[in-house]
Amino acid sequence: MSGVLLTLIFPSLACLAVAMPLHHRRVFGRELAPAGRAVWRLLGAGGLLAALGLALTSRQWTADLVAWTVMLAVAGLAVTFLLTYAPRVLPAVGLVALSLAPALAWWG
Amino acid sequence: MTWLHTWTGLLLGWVLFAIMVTGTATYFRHEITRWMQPEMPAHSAERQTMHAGLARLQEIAPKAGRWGVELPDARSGAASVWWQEGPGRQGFKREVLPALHQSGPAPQVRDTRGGEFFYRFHFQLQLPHPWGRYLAGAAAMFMFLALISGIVTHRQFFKDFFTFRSGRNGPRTTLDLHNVTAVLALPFYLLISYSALVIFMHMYLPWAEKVLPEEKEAGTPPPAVKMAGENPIGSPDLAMILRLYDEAQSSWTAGEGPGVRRLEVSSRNTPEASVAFSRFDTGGVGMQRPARLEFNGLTGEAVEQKTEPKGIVTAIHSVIYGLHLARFAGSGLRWGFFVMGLMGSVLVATGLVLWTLKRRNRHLSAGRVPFGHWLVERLNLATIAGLFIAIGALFWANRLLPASLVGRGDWEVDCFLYAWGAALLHVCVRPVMRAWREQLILVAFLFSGLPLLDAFTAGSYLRGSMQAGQWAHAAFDVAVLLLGLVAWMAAVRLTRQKVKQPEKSLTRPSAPQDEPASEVA
Amino acid sequence: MLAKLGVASRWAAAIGGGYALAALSSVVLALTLTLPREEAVMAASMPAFLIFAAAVVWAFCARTAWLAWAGIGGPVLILAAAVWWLKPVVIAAAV
Repeated sequence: MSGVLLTLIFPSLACLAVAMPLHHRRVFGRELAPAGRAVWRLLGAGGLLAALGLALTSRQWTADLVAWTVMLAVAGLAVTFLLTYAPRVLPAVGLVALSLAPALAWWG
Repeated sequence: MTWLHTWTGLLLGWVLFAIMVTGTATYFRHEITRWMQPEMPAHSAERQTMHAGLARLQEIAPKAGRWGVELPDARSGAASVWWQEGPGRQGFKREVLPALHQSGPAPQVRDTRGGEFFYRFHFQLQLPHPWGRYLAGAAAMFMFLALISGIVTHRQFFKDFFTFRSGRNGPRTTLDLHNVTAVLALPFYLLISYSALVIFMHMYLPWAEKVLPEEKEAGTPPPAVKMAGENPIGSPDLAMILRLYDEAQSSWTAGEGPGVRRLEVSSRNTPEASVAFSRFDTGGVGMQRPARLEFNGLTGEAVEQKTEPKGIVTAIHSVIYGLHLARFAGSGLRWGFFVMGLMGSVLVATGLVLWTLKRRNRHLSAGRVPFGHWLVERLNLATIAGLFIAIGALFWANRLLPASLVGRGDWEVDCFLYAWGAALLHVCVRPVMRAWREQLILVAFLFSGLPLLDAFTAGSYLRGSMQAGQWAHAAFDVAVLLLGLVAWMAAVRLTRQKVKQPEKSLTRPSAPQDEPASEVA
Repeated sequence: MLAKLGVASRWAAAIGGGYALAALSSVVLALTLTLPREEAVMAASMPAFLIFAAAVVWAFCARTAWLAWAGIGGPVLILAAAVWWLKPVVIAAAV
């Protein structure tokens, strides 16, 4: 479950990061449009809520709620370091993570 | 508030750093023990292991009053038996079981504290009881205060969310690292510092307990532990214990939970003989007593367990306690906790370094370095790099000390302490920036060299464990290698960085009366 | 010099006064809560650490050292009086 949460939370946090003008410029190389800002925020918040919902509806929901907060920190650290050292690959990494989520859910 | 953050962070910051690092290691204490005892045979929690354990007990301790068999779980792969022949700890003995397919005596496993060392150090700090626990409690309180005041001090952090500027500007980079590690895992830090206080609250705040009158015990006092009598009546025989084991195992695994972890036969050879099985439940985050199934040792009938009524306060307490220990965490979540522990260690370390970075230039332009600053710079280095040197020395000693050495486990701990002492001496005689570089290189050497040392001294065990699909041993090697690489990178960065440093003036403290006490904002 | 004395006095108020406040609040809570003994002890001691933290924050936030002492000393006196008043009652009830 921790793995699934991580693969959902990482792209969500990446969306929230590119909703910030400074990080958006570093990742995409162009200015952030006001409309885009709202979309990115919605995507990010939606992803975090979806992950939270997944954690809360599982059988071991107490442990998974903890896992949700723990993975928030781990994913946030990963997003931060990617933004520093390889901002351009952030979208790709986010998409790869997201595509791994169903596989991990099935496997775990 | 800034003032409070600065000083609560600094005063016990060094203690706090050591607690954070050893606590982070404690998340993997069973895995560390497995690495430090590579010759420990791996078992599986099967009926045969239980049978072998009982047969061994029958052979070596037929008259013991108490018997126990500990089956392995997913994290610690070892099985052992214990027995008690007399009262007190003297009569208590424990033995590791040989692997199932091997015959002959139990294997010689090297004497080591293993991961227990980190666990104990985390809250006792290698100090005489109870002072280590009091110091750790004070450090937890200071951390809690530093967190509260830090939230106020650095409250503009949302503007800089996800921002880490790794540039030539050393203080800026350090501050970013401090903020990033703080903000991302803030609930975790608040939780671990507060729960640390709650765990030992009967020591830190015993007053509520003292003023409330003891409740009178209802009914008869619990029976005293009975030792074996001369006549062998009432000893449950092996077949019966195994039958009860099957019963307990099937009733537990039917509910998809883990199976039996421990067996305890008590009051053997007396009419009160009893057989009890226990396991740890998984799922909930709360701290709980192990579940127990108890049987009458003569008749084999199940004994009704008293279930204590649980109120809401007990439930809250058990969740706070359980979250700190994180026993509920599976391997993925456990790595997450480990990463957060490392983040916490970085948080404390960068906070300590920031204290000196902020003041350094001012002292340099004034031409004199006060004694307080000299001391903090050196304590920072001796704690941050020195602790990792000590831990590295502990692991190297584990592989290099001869297995036959008397008191080997204590020697390992001595190596840890001597290495730390040597690091402290080293920083007192070297210019501080050069000492940083030298110690970081030593850390890098010790940690990234460990997998190589492991391959030479315990390579066959490493291969064996991997072939058996056990990854703890290999994961340890990878983890220390990565930590070593981080130390390399830090050392390289320090070498490249041009720091304004008339090193000479920093090597000698000026008179202690120049100490900057209260003018710091 | 005076500034240093003020800081030292605030530390004393924070550590000594804060601890006294925490200890007394746990005693008063334990004596007033109608819970089984073990639960009362927990319910009384767990919030006490938060009270300690709040007292320390107050000690360093108050405008003057005098105010810092007043803000902690006042509640300490009130709680001490409460304990003095409660304690015999509880003992009598237990006997």
